[in-house]
Amino acid sequence: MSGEQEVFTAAEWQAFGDEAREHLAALEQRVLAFERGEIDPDELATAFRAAHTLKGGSATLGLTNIARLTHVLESRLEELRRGARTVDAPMASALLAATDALGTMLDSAVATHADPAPAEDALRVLDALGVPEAHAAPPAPARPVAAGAALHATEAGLVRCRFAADCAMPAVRALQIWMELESVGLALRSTPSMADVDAERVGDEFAVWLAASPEQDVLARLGGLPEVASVEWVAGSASASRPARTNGDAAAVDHAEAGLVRCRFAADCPMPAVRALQIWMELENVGLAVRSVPSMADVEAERVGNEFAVWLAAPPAPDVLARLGRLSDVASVDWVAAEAPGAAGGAPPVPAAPQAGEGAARGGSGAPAKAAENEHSVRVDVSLLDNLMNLVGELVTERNRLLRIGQELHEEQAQSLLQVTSQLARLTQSLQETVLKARMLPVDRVFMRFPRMVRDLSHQLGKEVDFVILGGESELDRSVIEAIRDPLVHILRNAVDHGIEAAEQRQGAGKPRTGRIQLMARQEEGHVVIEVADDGAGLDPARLRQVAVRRGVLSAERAAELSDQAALELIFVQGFSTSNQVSEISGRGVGMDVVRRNIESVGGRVELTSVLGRGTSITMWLPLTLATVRALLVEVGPQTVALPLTAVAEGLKAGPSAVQHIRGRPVMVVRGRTVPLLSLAEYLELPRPADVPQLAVLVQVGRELYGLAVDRLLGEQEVVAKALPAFWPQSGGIGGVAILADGRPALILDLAGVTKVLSQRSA
Amino acid sequence: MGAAVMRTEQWGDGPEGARENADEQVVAFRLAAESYGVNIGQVREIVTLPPITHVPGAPHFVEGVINLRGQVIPVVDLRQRFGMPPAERGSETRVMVAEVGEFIIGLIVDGVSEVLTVSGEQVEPPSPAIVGPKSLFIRGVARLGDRLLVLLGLEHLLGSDELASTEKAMADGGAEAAHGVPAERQLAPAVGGGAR
Repeated sequence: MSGEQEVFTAAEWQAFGDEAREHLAALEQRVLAFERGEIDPDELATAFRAAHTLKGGSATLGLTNIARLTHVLESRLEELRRGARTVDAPMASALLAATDALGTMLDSAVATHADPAPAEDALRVLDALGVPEAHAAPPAPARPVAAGAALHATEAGLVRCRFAADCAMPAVRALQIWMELESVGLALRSTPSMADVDAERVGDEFAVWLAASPEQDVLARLGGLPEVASVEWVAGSASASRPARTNGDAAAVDHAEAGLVRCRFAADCPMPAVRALQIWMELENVGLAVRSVPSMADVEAERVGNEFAVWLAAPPAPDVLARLGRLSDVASVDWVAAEAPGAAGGAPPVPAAPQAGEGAARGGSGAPAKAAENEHSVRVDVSLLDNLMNLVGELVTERNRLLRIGQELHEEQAQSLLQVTSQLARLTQSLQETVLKARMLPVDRVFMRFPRMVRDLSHQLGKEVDFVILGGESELDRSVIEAIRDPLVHILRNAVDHGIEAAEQRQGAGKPRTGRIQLMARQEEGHVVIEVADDGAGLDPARLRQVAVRRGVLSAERAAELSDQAALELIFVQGFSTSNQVSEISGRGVGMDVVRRNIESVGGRVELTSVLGRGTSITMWLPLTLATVRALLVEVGPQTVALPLTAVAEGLKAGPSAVQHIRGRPVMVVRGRTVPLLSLAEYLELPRPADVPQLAVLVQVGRELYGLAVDRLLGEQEVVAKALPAFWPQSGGIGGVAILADGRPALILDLAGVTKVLSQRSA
Repeated sequence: MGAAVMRTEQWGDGPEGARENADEQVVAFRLAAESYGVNIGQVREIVTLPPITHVPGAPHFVEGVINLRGQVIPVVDLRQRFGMPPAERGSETRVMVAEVGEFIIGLIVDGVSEVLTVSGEQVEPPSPAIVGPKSLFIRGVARLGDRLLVLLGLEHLLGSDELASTEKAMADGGAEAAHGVPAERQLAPAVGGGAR
């Protein structure tokens, strides 16, 4: 690509950056899979395509150094695709180093809108790993993964684009056109070829063969590209509308080579799908097959009629057709060259649409669904969603007020108002749910980066770890996703560092050499549960007690009194670390206490189970969203506060008979358990009532139970949570602010914070 | 756009930076017997006093938060902020919603009277005789005939160094130290330091 710089808008840079990062993430994931020996052709195609798209995009923006590195990376993938290599650990490391370097370069490019410095190291290492003979070969443009749509062959044709007379960078435009068409999964080949485009041998025309007619908006997008003067769709069989011969000298049109092999099965063919597969494999072997009709996905699903057709990039040798004709149950084999536009003489026989058969349901496979998904999704600025959420929150508040007014009105007036408000209530409810859904992301967004992290860590520590992710598609609100990122990093690091033992040690203990760490997400009613389980050494309660005593966290007597489970929970105590030596990996002074606090700060809960010698499992319950909170509203003095239902166990009668004092502090005995009774009035800085509280709410914080003295229970409600706007340092205990039906703001308490503040005040 | 920039320059630099002859519009309000003015560009709206929810751990002059059409904003009692004695709130009491730095806050004042145009030559720098917490916020005094209007700059109203010095003054004075501030100072490092 030329070094000419174009003026792109900041938004375009941003969009490029976002997309490029997604491609990099996809690449990284695939590389990790390849290293594990999982080399699936589809995955390989995805990786290849990600690299190719990234290369094209960066070249378009004049980011030569990014394009260069991506090109080398693409070459290695190409070798892999050819079967010329495998991905061993050094190769994986080199590929990963390249994606890392690309990430850094991208950040710099997006920030500065300029080509970043070349990543020479990554480039050199990756270059050195090339398979020699492949190296000189020009990079082949990526072939689209055969989309699964059952296509009518007659739909194939040619998109012809003419560049403006003063077009400065026809090769760049050609690449943009190619990528646009490739992204809709239709591009078969181009004239001039993509190799010529790469070498900047492009005249004033560029044509792309498509497997099917493109949507009108695709053509419109092409027409909207700068310096593109005209875009024309020429259906392959429409001889009547044959265009004039292209006049670009560089555009030596050679697309007459492409075409279609049509096979008809015998009427009594018992297994057409098997035959179709044989034909496909035969043609794929000679390296020509582009896509089939019906698609291979349909073939796998046995949706094949009595015809099967395969689009080829070039005419097959006669012996290939002969071999196909000799397959059992194949009645006839025809080669139908696609018509070259402007070719002299009569039109060649129009390839009839192969009859896909009754079973060949259109769009029945995964690939077209995916394409549709792309068309039906848009990138939305996060702040827009936040705004929308705020507006909906306001609407809900106003609705609640309206409902209240309705209840206060007289009978007749109330009736008609009630009708309106109940309708409004329904509408706002579904509006709220829809907006909440728009904010949901699959947890994979966070999980995605962990395989790489676990791999690097285990390599660094010389451990063998099999890392498994399950349920990555479970969805959580953006805000919750953000909140679990760091805790999960910490827990996983712990699992690799302290959980999984060295291979020899494992063998000695009669376990498989390779340790296993499983990261699972699943949805339970109103929650997402995330669990990290390892089959490592487990935690030793006895050792935890010793450490606690040595660190001065507990007295020896208190430690001895602890149950095993309570001893395990010691790892959640601030400043407690179980590692013998502080290690690079997990001993950075960030403890499980922070993990617990982070999870609790978003209204979640953490639990730990561990069996010595068998492994450890940490389970987190997380709310689906932070935007709304199911809460118990209670009155304390003049104030109404919201207690998140996740923490509320039950409401209890207090009163003089139920409340006792231990060392001057009030406690309640609940089913044999002594529970500290805390004053919410004190937390709220209200004058503390002199009387013994009459009512308490039992809440759970971690594994501890507390009674909170309140004056009145007002009932459960789903409240919209807003952040507390505060210019002062937060003392903890406030999770947000809800607007009540009467318009008053009410504090949503974070009970872990409340109990902490109160215990520190009384200490 | 141009006006906004000018305004920022004018207020950002305090009294020294005020342009000599520029006219400005100010919202005039009452605190006790005194008249004050705030540049109209900083005032979003003026509302009657809504119910206020107290927030534990907030500085003493933060009365709590209010709901302004779905937006939760903190309110500051200007009397408290200026070290003036508290007063009964009545039908005249207003909340002036103002933009202060990145925050939108409500300022409780005894009453809002009018919008005035003040020309540059009417404004004098604050007299060095003014001392106490108020001195930080006063950027000048406008002489309008026989009336005096104290012009406020709100930039320092929430400033952390100011906050610290007020706390210090309070701790020295000892009178209001029990108002939750020590607890917050004690906790802040624990929260900040622990969170990685």
